[in-house]
Amino acid sequence: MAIRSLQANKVRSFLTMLGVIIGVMSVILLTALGSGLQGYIVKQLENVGSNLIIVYPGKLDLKSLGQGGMASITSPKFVLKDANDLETQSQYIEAVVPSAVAQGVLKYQDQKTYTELLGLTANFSQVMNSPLASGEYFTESDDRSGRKVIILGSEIAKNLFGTEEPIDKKVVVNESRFTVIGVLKNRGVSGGQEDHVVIPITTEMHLFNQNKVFALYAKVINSNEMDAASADIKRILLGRLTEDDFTLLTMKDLLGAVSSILDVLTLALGGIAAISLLVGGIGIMNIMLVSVTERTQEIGLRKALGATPNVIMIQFLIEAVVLSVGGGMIGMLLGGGIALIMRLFIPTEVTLWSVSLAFSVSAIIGIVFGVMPARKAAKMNPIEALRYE
Amino acid sequence: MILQLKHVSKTYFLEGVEIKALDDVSVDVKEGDFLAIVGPSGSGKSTLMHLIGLLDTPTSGEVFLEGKDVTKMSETTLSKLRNEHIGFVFQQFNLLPRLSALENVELPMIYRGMKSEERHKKAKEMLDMVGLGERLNNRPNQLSGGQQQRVAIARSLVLNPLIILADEPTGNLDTKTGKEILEFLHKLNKEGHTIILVTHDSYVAEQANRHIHIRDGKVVSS
Repeated sequence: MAIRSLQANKVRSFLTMLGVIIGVMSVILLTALGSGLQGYIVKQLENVGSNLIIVYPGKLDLKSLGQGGMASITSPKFVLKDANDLETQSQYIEAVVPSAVAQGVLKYQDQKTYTELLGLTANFSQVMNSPLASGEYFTESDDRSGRKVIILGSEIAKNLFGTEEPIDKKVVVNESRFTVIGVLKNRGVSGGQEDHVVIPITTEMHLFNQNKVFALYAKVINSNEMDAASADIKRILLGRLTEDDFTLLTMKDLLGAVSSILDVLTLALGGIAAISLLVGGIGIMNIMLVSVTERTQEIGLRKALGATPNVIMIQFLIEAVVLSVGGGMIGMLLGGGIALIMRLFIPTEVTLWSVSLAFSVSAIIGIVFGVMPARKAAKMNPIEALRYE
Repeated sequence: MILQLKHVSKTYFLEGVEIKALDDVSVDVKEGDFLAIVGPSGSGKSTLMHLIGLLDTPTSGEVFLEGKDVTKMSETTLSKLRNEHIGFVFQQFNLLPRLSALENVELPMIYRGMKSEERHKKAKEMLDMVGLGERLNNRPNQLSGGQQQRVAIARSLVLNPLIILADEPTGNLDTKTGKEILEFLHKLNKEGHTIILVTHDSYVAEQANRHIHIRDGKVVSS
C-alpha cells in the first residue's frame, strides 16, 4: 500500500530520494577517499623501510604532533663519529647513515632552483632505500675525498634539465661546480625524494662549513629487534650526549602520527557528508508532510473503514523508510561505483564501516523524519479528513 | 435494539462562539430498519450521522451499540467497531483513485486482517452482487458515477455490518441512476440489512420506512 502511493508520484519520490542518494553517496565517497589516502601514505612510508630508526636532534614528541605540539629542536650535536660508533658497537644495527642538511641554489645554464641539499654517506642507498632512475651512487672514497658529485631528485632533474640527459652535466651549487652522477627514482610521497639533492656528507660539511651532523639513520638488521636496537642506540649516544639532545623515531611512530592525522581528516570528510544526509532527511519530512495534507481525504476514508491510528502511522512511516532506504541503497551503489572508477586515478578504499554506517543512518533518518508526518496523519480527525476537499 | 442514542448533544466552538449542532437528541435503531434522517443543510443531520457512524463522540449523552456504551471509547477501539459494524456509503463515493474496484472493496478486509485469498474471493462476490463482476480491475475513473457508488456499496457490505450508513448516496448522481441506487438499497433492506439514509431530499427519504426530521439540532418529528 505504501509503495503504491510512492509509485503514483514517481518523479516526486525520486527527487525526494535524491537528497538521501547524494548524502549516502558522498559519505561513502569521501570516506573512501580518506581511507584510500591513508592506505596510500602508509604504504609509501613503509617503502622507506620499516626497520629504520631515525635519530633526530633535540626532544620531540610525536604523539603531540597531531595536536599541533612539537617540542624544542635544539641545534644538532651529532658528529660523524657517532654514526661509526653505532655501527660498530651495536650488534643489532646493520648500517648507519649520518645526514647533514642545507638550503642552496642549484643552477644549470640559465635554469635556477632552490633546494634542500642532503649530505649523506655512500651507504645511504643501502639504508634509506633510495633507488636510482639513472646514473650511479657515489663511493666511499668520493665521500672521503670530498668530491663534488651530486645525485638529483627526480623533480629537480626535470626542472633543471627538462628532457635533456643530466648525467655528467655540470651544475653550480652556491658557486661550486658539481658533476651530476645520478638521478633518484620518483617514489611518490615518501619523504620528498623528488625535490632534494644528495651529495657526499664530507663535501656538504666542507661546503657549508658545518661541523655537526643533523640526524642519523640506522638500519636495524632484524625488524623484530627494533626495541633492542633503540635501547642500544640510546645507550651508546648517552655516553656522550644527554637525554634532551636526541629523539629516536621509528617508522611505526611516524605511521602512528600520520594515521592519527588522517583519521581526523577522514572523520571530518565523513562529517561534512553526513550533513548532506541530514538535509536529505529533512527533504523526506517535507515531502511526507505535503503528502499527508494531500491525502487528507484518503486518510479520513481509511479511518472510517476501520484503520486505527497506528495502522495509518505505520503506513506513512513505511513510505518514509522506503524513500530513505531506497535512496540509501542507490547512493551506496553509486558511491561505491564511483569510488571504484576513481581508483583508476587516485587511491580510494570503500570501507565496510562507512557503507554500513551510511546505510543504517539513512534508515534511521527515514524513521526519525517520517515520525512527525506519520503522527500528523494518525491524529487526523476522520470527520474533518472526510470533509476536506 | 442495535443502536441507541440517548439524549445526545454536540457543541462546537467556532471562533469562540458556541454552536449547538445537536441538542438533546434520542434515536433508536432496530434491526431491519430502513431509517431516513431528513433535514436541510445546517440542521445537524451530518453531526448526527457522525455520531451514529462512531466517527465522533457526543459532548453529552450516551451512544449504545448493541447495548454497549461506546461514548467514552478510545479512537483505536472506535476504529475497530466501525470496521466491524458500520458500512459507509458517501455522497462523493470516496473510492481510492489508484486502486481497482476489487482493491477498493478489499480495503475494510485489510484492516480486519484477513488473508488476501479470502479478501479477493469476498470482494469478487460482492462486486458480482452489485452487478460489477465484469469490472473488477477498473479504476474508479474508468467507471460511471452509478458504478462507483455500487463499488462503494459493495465495500460497505463486504464485512456484513450491523448498519449501512448512507450519507446522501444519490447526491452526485442523475435522477435515473439515483433511483437505481435507491432501489438497490431497498433490496438490501428486504434481505435484512439495516439501513440509515441521511438526506435533505424528501423524495429520497420517501424510500425509507421510518423518518427522523431534524431542524436546528433538534428532532422535530419521528
